Amino acid sequence: MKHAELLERLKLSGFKRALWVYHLNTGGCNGCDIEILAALTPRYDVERFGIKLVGSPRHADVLLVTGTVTRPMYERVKRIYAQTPDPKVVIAIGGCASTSGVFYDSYNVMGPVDNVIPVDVYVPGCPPRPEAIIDGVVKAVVKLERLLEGKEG
Amino acid sequence: MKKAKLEPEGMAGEKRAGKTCPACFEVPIGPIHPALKEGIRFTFWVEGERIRAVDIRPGFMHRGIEFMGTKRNLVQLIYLAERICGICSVSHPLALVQAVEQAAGIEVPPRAQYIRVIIGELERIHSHLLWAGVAAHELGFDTLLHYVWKVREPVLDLLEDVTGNRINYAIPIYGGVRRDIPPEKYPKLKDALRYYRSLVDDFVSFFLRDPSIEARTRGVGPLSPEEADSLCAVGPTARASGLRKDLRQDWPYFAYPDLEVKALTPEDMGLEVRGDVYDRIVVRLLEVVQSIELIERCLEEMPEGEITSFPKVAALMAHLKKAEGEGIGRHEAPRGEVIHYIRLEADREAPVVWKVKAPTYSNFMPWFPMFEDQEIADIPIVAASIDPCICCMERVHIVRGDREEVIWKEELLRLSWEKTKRVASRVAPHASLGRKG
Amino acid sequence: MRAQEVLTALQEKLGERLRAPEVRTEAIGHKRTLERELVWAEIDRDDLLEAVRTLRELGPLHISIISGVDAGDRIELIYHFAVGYGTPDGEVMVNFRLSVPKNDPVVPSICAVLPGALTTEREKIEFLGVQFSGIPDARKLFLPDELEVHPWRKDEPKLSDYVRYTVAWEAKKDEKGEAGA
Ligand code: SF4
Repeated sequence: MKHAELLERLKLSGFKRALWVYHLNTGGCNGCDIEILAALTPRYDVERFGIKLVGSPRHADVLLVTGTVTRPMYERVKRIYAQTPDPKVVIAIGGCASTSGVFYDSYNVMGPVDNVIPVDVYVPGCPPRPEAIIDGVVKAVVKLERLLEGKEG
Repeated sequence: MKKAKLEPEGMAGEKRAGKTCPACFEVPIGPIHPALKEGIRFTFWVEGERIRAVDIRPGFMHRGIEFMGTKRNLVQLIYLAERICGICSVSHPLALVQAVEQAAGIEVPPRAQYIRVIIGELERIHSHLLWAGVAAHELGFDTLLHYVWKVREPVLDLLEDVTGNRINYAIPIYGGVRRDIPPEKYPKLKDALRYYRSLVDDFVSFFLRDPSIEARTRGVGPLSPEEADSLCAVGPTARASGLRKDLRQDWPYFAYPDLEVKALTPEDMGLEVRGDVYDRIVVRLLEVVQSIELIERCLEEMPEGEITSFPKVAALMAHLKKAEGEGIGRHEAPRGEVIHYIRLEADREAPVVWKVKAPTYSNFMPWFPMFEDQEIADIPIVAASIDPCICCMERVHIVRGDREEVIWKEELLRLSWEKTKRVASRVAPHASLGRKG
Repeated sequence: MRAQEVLTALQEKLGERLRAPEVRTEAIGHKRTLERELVWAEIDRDDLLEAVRTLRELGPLHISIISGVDAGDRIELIYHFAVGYGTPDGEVMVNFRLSVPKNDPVVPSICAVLPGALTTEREKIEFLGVQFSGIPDARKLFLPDELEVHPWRKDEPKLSDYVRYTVAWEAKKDEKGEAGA
């Protein structure tokens, strides 16, 4: 996505604040995680739009969840969701987080993220490109705005 | 160098802490990974700032891949193997295809063997650069993290150009590879390799000649050659301790016999081997240069010809269905040895046994001596120094943010960064962090 | 190191107790061709430690992994070692097959000879339910504590309780399949 276009969309969405993002790997392969990191580094550099990765869910507006949910992660995902202050948006990044992808039929896999917590935006791909991840975050901004205005419950 | 404590009972941190250090404090960290995004729980017993004992509990990322694998057919298995780990995403399929080819008696055309080497080495460049960035981050040099990740993008572009994807390339198939590298693409590859060559001097001055990095990594997290040997360390971790252990040299496969690879240790840069974090940086930088050379040679020497012995997937499936036997495939991934063992039975599409071992699995035990007597502020860099890939090791996965966390990732990193500042003002009071080579 | 040397040393020590010894070779390389060698043999659990010690005397020894499978009333374990790393083209893979009855699944631990084997032995305890005598640390490693089954065993009735449908359409597909049958 062109930077100007992205800025435009962020402006259009009218989100006045910087967006803070918490990243949670619930059992994927790391592919999505390194693409999220790549989105933060100079080629894509989302920080110039005020999108920032934070180290605690309590500070976050957006949860980026990657990976299918494993058994030991099941409770922890719920807990982290509860710790994130409202209004919040959850983005499932990648095929695993959206549908469980290649991981099924196992004693330790509990399924895609929406089996556990509500998901607002799905970003397909295995892994999705950094551009797609940024696009997903922008969609989340729009949703968050609507939540803030009280249009959606 | 400290004496190796290798009595087996010394390995269970809990027991030892009670025995040797009744006054220690217990510091659980995790299940976060202080270096990457993956979950693993460390428990340290500390006396003042010094770590006296450690216990490590992985398991949060376990997906049960081998279990799933015994319910899928062999072609599906490639996709699954690829998703064991996204960073070394071609290493597992490369080991798997070798195992199946051995079990089913499949020949591979020479051109395909060269293409496999090229993809494997491109992956090594991308993975080592990724690690260098993470290591810089752990030390508090975020400028360097961003610089390294920026120069890492061209190799991803290259991988995308030749395979179609930045990560998870889906290149190996039983009997060959799925995509050729046509000669029109050689110039692009060669340009990119030239670009990386021109960066080597910068890397040396940023990482190896920087007084603060040297002060933070020299003598930190040491692993003696005896420890590395008896604990079965693999990959750059073993080589940094002076063991010339490299599958491409000791157990050549694909086109590696033609290329005559040599295992690299810090000695190859004229340094004395000390087995610390600094040496692990040295080895990885040397290997980036080695990978560039190997790809250049492959492009020169690659023969013409077929890229697979089964152009039709149906023929391949029919052959695999009849196959019976067992095979072992090994590959030197960026982090060390990957081994896959497979057993096939005729008229059964799924394998009877599939066992996977990732490099971090072998480098798990060497973590124990590395942590001993280190400072708390050094935990992130020591943990990162083996380039851990937890989801690989566990073939499963987990997260951070658990109640049990006493020290959060951020706090631990802050300790590490503060130490760098302290050290930097001591070693180079007025120096900026720029180049000084 | 060549496979024949390894085999001779093992046979000298173990004699008849080394069953079905076999050297498998594979030609590799294109311009420079090499023979790559793998030694396969079957041993009893009582001879395991002696065999591993013999290998250790031969040169640098690395344990790659122990793989295992549930073979009916027995559990089969395969120890994959690599002898002689560090010499160009000079590594030999040595694979010992041994099987233990399910009602007495105890194998001696080789950690005293090769401490690096601990990870893989701990893994076998939780996945296959074998026991290692003399193992320094037998706690769980990868599996969650609440998982009470050994997932690689075929005789675990409770295992299917843990394997659940991860996505809803899979369950639907199964229902349809049953209705159709
Ligand atoms: S979606 Fe693909 S790349 Fe992402 S975590 Fe899952 S398997 Fe890995």
